[in-house]
Order: sequence, then C-alpha cells, then structure tokens
Amino acid sequence: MDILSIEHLTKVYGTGPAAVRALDDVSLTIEAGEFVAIVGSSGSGKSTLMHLMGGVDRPTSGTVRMNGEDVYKRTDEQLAVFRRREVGLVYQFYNLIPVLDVEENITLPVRMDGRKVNEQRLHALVSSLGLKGFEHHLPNQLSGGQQQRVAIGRALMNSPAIVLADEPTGNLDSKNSVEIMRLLRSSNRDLRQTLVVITHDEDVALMAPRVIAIEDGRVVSDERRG
Amino acid sequence: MGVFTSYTLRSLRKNRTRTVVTVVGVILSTALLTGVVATATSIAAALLGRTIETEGSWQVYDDLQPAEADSALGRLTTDANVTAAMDSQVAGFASYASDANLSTTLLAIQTAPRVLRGSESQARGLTVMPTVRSGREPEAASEVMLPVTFSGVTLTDDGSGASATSDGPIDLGSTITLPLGAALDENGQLSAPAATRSYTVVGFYVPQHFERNDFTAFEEAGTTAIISANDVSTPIYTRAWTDTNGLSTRDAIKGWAAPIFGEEDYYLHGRLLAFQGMASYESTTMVSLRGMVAVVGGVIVVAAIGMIGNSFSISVAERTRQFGLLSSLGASKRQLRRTVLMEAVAIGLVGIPVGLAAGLAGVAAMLSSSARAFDALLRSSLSGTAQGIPLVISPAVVAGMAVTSFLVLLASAWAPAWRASRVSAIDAIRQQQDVRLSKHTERAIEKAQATGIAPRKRMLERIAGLPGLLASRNLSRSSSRGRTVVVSLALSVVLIVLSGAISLYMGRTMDIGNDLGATNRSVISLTVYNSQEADQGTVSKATLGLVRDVQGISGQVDGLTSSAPIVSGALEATLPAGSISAEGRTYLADYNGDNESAGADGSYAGPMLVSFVDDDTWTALCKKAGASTTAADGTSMPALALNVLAWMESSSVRTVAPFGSPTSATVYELRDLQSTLLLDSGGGALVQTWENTGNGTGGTQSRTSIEDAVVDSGSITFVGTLDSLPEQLGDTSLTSSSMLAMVMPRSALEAHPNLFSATSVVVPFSLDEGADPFDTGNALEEAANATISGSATAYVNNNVAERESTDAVVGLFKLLVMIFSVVCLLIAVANVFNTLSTSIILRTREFAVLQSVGLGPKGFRRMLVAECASYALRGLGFGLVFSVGVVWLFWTALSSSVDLSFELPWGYVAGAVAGVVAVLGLSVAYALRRSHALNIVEALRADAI
Repeated sequence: MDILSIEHLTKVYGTGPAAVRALDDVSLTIEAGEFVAIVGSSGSGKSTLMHLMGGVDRPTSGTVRMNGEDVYKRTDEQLAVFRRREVGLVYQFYNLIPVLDVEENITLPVRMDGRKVNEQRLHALVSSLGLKGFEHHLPNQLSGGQQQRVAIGRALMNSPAIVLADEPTGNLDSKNSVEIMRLLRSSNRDLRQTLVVITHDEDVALMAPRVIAIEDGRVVSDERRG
Repeated sequence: MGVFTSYTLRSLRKNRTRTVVTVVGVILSTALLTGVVATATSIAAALLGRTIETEGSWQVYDDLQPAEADSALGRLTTDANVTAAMDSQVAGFASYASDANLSTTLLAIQTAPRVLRGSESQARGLTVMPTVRSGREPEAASEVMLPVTFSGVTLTDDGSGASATSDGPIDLGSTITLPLGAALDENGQLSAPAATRSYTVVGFYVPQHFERNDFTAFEEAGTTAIISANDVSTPIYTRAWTDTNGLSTRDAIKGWAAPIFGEEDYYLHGRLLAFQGMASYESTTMVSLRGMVAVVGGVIVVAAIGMIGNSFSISVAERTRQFGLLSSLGASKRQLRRTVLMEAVAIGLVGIPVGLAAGLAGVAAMLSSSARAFDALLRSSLSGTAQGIPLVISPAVVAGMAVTSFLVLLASAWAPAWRASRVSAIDAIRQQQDVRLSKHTERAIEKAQATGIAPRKRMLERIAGLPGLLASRNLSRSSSRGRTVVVSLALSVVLIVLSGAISLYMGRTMDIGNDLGATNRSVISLTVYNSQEADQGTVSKATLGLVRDVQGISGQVDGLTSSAPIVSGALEATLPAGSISAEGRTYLADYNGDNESAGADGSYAGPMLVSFVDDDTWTALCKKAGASTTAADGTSMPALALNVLAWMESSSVRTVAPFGSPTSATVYELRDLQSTLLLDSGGGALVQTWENTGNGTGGTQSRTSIEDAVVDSGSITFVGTLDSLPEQLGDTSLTSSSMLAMVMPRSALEAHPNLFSATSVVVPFSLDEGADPFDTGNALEEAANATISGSATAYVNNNVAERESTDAVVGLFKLLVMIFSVVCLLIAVANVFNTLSTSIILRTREFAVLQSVGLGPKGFRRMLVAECASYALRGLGFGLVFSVGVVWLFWTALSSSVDLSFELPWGYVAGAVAGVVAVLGLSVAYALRRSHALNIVEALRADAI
C-alpha cells in the first residue's frame, strides 16, 4: 500500500533569471513500512524533497499525497495538524526547544495536539532511546548523540505515518552515528515505522533496502535491494 | 571604510525597524532634555530681563559721604572690573506745604545721572530712569525737573527753615526756590540749609517705582527734584551705582567692593545676583528652577539610558554568535567593543542633531503659543497683545546638550559593548544557544532531575496548555528583558494616571471655584450701588428704577452685550426648624462668634441676602433646580435657597451646604433699619437694635419682642434649592458673604419693595468678537457715570486681565504636563516595542522548529498572547499600585490648600489599561508579521548566523 505518493513535484526558489529549480518534476511512491534512503550531493534538492514530504514547505507545482489525501490542499492550520500527527522530523542539528526538558521535548507533538500523554509509551520510548535518568535535563545539558536521540523520540512519539530524517548523523561521530541509525532501523523493523532518511553518507545509505538518488532536482536512480 | 564600520552599518540596516525605533528614542530623549534646559534658560533670561527692567542692572550701590566720594568715584572710573558706573549727587532735602493733597511733604534734591564708566545707555540702565512726561531733563545750570504730581501745584513755605516754594501754580517755565545742603537727622528733622537757590522748571517726570528701586527713590523722601549734573558744589552725599565683570561669585564681588566702598558699607543687588547665578545661601527662584531642571533632566537621562541601553543589549544578544564567529576569525575584544560603540555613534549622528532641533523648535512653539501665560508669570505688566518671552539659549549650552546626549548614548552602549567583547569563539561553534532560565525555574528543573518528578505546572500552563508552558518558559528565560518591559509598562501607566490625576484635581479645584461663582464672573460687569438713606420701600423702588437706567447704558457702548440685570439686597427673615443643616450651624457660629441666629433644631432668625432676577432667568433657574416657578399656595413669594457658601480656613477654601430642608420663611420689615432678628432662648424671634451714641464711637443694644418692631411681613416659600452658584449670578457675591442667601423673581420685589432692602444692580456683559476689553471697559465707565446720578455710584469690574492670566497659566501648566508625559510615554512605548518585538524575532528559528513539529498558527498566536498577557498583567499591576501611591502623594500635597476628596482618574486608568494592551498588541502584531514572512525552511536552514 502506498503511504506516500509524489507526482510531478516541482519547487522553484526565487523568480526570473535568479530562479533556482530545486526540484524538477519528481514522481515517486513510498509504501507503508518501507525504509528509504534518499542520497545526493549538496544542493541536489534532497532536503527540499524532504520538506515537501513533511508538509513544511509548499510546492510550486505537483502533488504530495499521504494515504491518498493531497497534503497541500490543507490550510495552514490543518497542515500544522498534519505535521504533528502524520510526520516525524529529525534534523541534522537536532532543533530541540532549548527551554523545554527532555520529556517535554519528546511529548511536544502529543501535547500540541491537546491529547493526553501515554505514559507507558513515553517510558518505553525513553528507555529504548537510552535516555533514562535524563528526562528532566535541558537540551544544553546533553551531548550531541543524546540530543539527537531526543529528536528521534519526538519524531516517534506520535506514531506518525512517516518519519523523515535529514542527515540525522551528519553532526555526530561514528559511534553515535551507528547508535542513531540502529535506533531508526529498529523502529522500522520492530514497529513497521515508515522511514525516509536523507543522507550523503554511503554507509547510512547502505542500511536501507531502497535507495533513491537525486541529482539536480531529478530522480536519477531508484534501486531496491534484497 | 573599515570592515567593522561597514559591518556596523549593515547590521543597522538589517534591523531597520529597531534602528528606527532607537533613533526615535534618541531624538525624543535629546529633544526632551534640550526642551527642559532651553525652557529653563529662557525663563531664567526672562527673570533676569524683568529684574533689569524693573530694578536696573546695578550690582553694587552705595551712598558715599563727601570724605570718601572722590577716591571711590575715582576707582570706579578706572577699575578693570567695572563695565558701567554712574553717580548722582544729593544736594539736600526740602519740606513744603502745598494746596494739593500730596501724600508726602519731603522732597529730595539730586542731580541727573553722571556717567562714570561705559556708554550713556549702559550707565543709565544701571537703574530705572524716570520717564519724562512733558518738557525735558535739566541740562543747564539752575534747571529742575519735578514729579508730574507737582504740575499745577503751588508750594508754600511750611516754616521748617528748609522749605521749597513756588511763585504760583507750577508749570513748565515756572521758578521754584529750593534750599541746598539741608540734611535729615535720625528723627527726620531737617538741618538748616547752607543756601537757597532758584531753579527753572524744565520738565515733569513719572517715577518708575516698581520696587522702590529706581533712580528717584529715596528711603527718606517721597518725591525727588532732579537738577542738572555737576550743578552741586557741596553735595551732602553722593549716590553711586555700578556693575562688575569678571567676578563670578558673591564673595568675589564683596571682596572687590570692600576696599572701594568700605567693609559691609554698601548694598548688593541680591535679586539680580541670584538670577545671575550668584545667589546667597537661601533658596531662590533660581535655585528651585535649577532643582526642577535637575530632577526632570535626571529622570529623562535615566529613562534614556534605560531605553537605549536596552536596545543595544538586544542588538548584541541578537548577534552573540556573530561576535563569537568574528572573534574566532581573529577579531580583538577592542574591535568588537568598538563595533557596538560605532553603532551608538552612527545612531547619535542622526538622532542627536534632529533631537536638538526638535527640542529647540518645540520650546519656541511652546513659548509663542503660551505667550500670554509667560507675560502673566514673568512680565511686570500685561499689555493688550501678548509679547511672551523669547527663546534664549547660548550656543555653549546647546553644545553642552549635544555632548551630554552623546555621553548618555555612549554610556548606554558601554555595557552591551563590553558584553559583546566577551563572547567566546566557542559560542559561535556551538549549535545550541546557551539558555539561561530564571533561578526559580532552574531550581524547579534541578529538583525534577533529582527526583524524576516533572516540575509543577505554572499558572500560564494551566490556563493555556502547551502554548502556556512554552510562554512561561520563555518568560523565565528572558527575565531581565521581561523586567524592562514590565518596568516600562508600569512607568507608562504611572505617567498616564498621574497626568490624569493632575487634570482631574485641577478640574475639581476649578469646580469649587465654579460652585462659588469665582470663575463664572463675566468679562466685564457694571455694578450700581444705591446709597440713599430712606425707608426700605423707598430705597428698593429707587433701585428698581436704576435697572431701567442701566439698561439704557448698555445700549450706548459698542462691543458689549449685556445680560439681564440682577438686583441684590438683604432681608430680615425667620426660618422654621429643619431649615439649617448641622454644617450650616457650625459655619454660622464660626463666622458670627456668638451664634444667636441658628437654633439647634435648625431654625433661623436673622439677616439673609437675596438676588432678584428677571422672569426668563427665574424660569431657567427653577428648571435647573427642578422646582416649580410659583409657590404651591399661590400667594406666598417663591424663592430658591442657595445652598453653597465658601468657608475660608487658614490656607484652604471649601464649600459648605448651609441649608437643611428649607420649606418657607417669613420676611419682616423692621421699624428701625439698624435692627436685626435673633432667636431667643425659647426658640422664638427677637429684634435686636443697635443704637449709636455720640458720633458713632459707642452704642448700646436693646432687645424687643418682634411684634413691637415689625412694620410689615410677608411669607416666602422655598420652591427648590440651588447647589452651586448659577452662571447667571456669577457677578453677585452671594457665596462669599458669609450670609445665607436666596434667589427670587424680580416680580416679588416689585410687589413688596418694603420687605427688602434692595441696594445694588449688577449687569454682566460679554465682549463682542474683536472688541478691546480695556477700551470698552473705559467707555462703559464713562457712560455709566454720565447716566447715574444722585446717591447712586457705578463701578465697572474688568475681569479680562485676571481671567486671561489665570486661563493662560493653567493652560501653560497643562501643556507642560502634557508634553512631558507624552514624550516620556513615547520613550516607554519605544522601549516596550523594541524589547518585545526583538525578543520574538530572536526566536525565529525556535518558532520554525515548533511549527515544523506541528504547532499551528493558532497555537503560535496563543503562545505569544500568553507571553504578552503576562507582561501586561505584571506591568499593569505594578503600574496601578504605584499610580495609586503617586496620585495619593499628589493629592496629599494639593489638599493642604484645597479641600478635595481622594479619587482616581478612572478614565485615565482605563486609558492606561487600553494603552498597555494596545502597545503589546502592536508589538506582537509586528513580530508575528515578521516571523510569518519568514519561511520555515529558511529559518531552519539558517544556522543562526
């Protein structure tokens, strides 16, 4: 079943001669439970693609369908609800809210939705992320790896339809990188969490059964292995 | 251009709004400071000018005895510290008898001024010279100029041996004989003159005795004859006036004067010296002026440092990472510090000149728009056209202001600049901004870390959910910035409420005046008194006849429109129990010593005042009082009780309501006009008569029963009560006469003239557009005197000058209060706006993250609103509490002179609340627009540099 289908997606930044075509007529589908790596060099358009998948940016043309529904037919308010329920984002630079502690950062999307926090799930998540004992630390009291684990917790907390990770290991040493990828992979394997990882790291890309390569805003290859 | 200068200019351009707000803040502070100083220097110059105008510019004066005169005068002509000096020799004193009723009989004889130093006008400006009314000043030997009061007067020998005489009535060209060399001893006795001499009268002058300090003023004599300079061979003493230069303290002047005039043997021009900054220790106008400038200026400087400093701290905080990066690239601490100070210099280069110009222009505008008020305050006389006072400020002071403003600016930027230079390179490399929460929140989080239990929910979180949590954490993060906002808001609230209180209490003070009629007087009024001696009926009828006469006068004078004439007089009446209030009894007892007029049960017997008005006015007044125009029984005379009187106590005035519930009164015509009614011990009425014995030096009282003394009586019904003196009766003195008063229709007097003693008629006039108040007043007086005859006398009251100056001074005061609070308010607004909008813009990246994880526009707005609501509540809370305190202090100060109850200006309080909400709303709206315009993707991507 396709959870995400992208058709003729184009994104142009700027106008006139200064216009940059970051994405150029990209079409692809992602199935539920898939683990996809999107690779490409700097400026290839992979981050733009991720933002469009996550409902953060709006496309110049083309559609993004999540569970068959057009994401960008929504109003800003509806789009915000979409982001908090259906998408989990993980950034290279963690992007945690500095004034909130670990537990509050992780539960942010749930509380934003006005729902009650499932304490059991929270505890399970915190211990699987290895953050037990750090629940009430502020982000600046944590190491980079720990911060990225909090970001992953935040992305997974709501059991979103899709988790989008943009260079999640780009800012970490190899030991922490391995740890983060292990966490993401296990969420995909154990929880059937659909996962898209954007990376330029060959090792990371090799972990994914499907690798989509983007160059100059176009899909140049889409390989499935195993 | 160096790299740091161009970096500074770019930063300023990038944060255009904050730069503009900061520049506006600098302009406002500079303008306000300049305005205060320029106003003060202008007023000081005007005060100095007035002193010179009315008293002359002399600094030292002495009466030189013949023995010391030569050396002293010699030194005055050569001393380096003298700019101008003059003398006048006193030839002696003379007495005289005259056919005119002159108030004095001693004449001083002195020479016209002789210039010792400086130009003629400089020397004469040392004192106030008399103005020549006719003829000229004496120039040749044996010429004399006399005061104008001597014109047409014949001086005769009074037998003192030193007497001035004239051949006949003195006119220009007459010859008078004056004794020379006669001095006065301690007892005011004239010594024998050395000689007598004849003089030709060549002029008459008007003395300019503003302060008994002019050229012709003598302690010993009331009038002065001026003879030609150098026309005295042996003066009895010499008067010398001088100013000085190069001496800047009172002690320096004393030290200079002592060897010339003798230790302590001279006069210093104290008032002038005070205005020239050489005050003696006691407090003077100058000292309080300086004090006020210092206080107000201090407030402005503190407000400005706060506001500008805040703006710079934000600017630095915003660029912490940039500074870190610059430092990692090798920028020295000095360079970083200079970057911030450069920003201050750039802002000052724009803001300070504009502020100086705006301040000077503002003061010039204020001085010219309030010219009349300044005339009233600072000039010796009021003229038809307002002159005002000129803007006076020396270039040195303007330069000083510029330097002060610049130093304030640099001082404000210094601390942020220091902070910028201490940013470490590490800060730039770190991804996460260092977050410092308030101690309170930090402790709560530490506790949570130790126990593993989530921190207790704060108020905002409970009210507004997650947006509330975010808001309360953000508030705790930027607590110092929050304090700035809260203090600025509180300050604005205090200022708004205080200016509200000032106008409220000024208004209420005026209202007291209004109730008493003090401010309701017409522009010009004509009062005609009938001083005929006859029985009440005859006098009252004659007074009614005067009404027709004055109506005739009204038509004769152009430029005046008359209102209905009011006839006033007195009556003897009794009022039943319950008519007088307890307050009224206290009042009557206070004014009449032994109070036998008002009984404990509220009854009254005694004199009352009454004003009779025409039918139209009567109808209007009854309507105002909500009363019917006629008595219910149809036969008794209707009256309105005037239930307000002024009670003057030592230094304060308040209003009293003397009546209880008056229903009726009985008015009596008494056989003897000298009689008055009293209450006897049983509560009935008695008649007391004062009988003069001899020629009015003594007398006896006799008391008789009312039946024996009464000729006629009538009944009055009170149809209503007036709680304040109606506008129409503003020219009567009903409220300030310490007697119970009532208003009746004139028809009652016409029907029963014998029951009342009507003795005066007042006609209020309004001035037509463009008519000159002084000329028309004079014309009215002439017309009245031409018409009124017999035992009647007419007076014209011209309230124009008094009213204009009161209005103008009140207006000026309000204007100054308004300017000050508006500018302070703008500074506070700039502060709040800057702080709030920047603190929001600073968190753009965080907002982007929140949005990317699903915070919708609504939640985002809720978060900001929750943050601002917290500021608003705290600002308003502190502000209102302080306002109450400040208003209370103001009220305490004011109520020492006027009796007012404590009240808050609720309208202004509401305005302050609305203002706080509006300022916060505006800042949030601006910040929202800014953060909205920002693309989430870009905000996320921007690595905070």
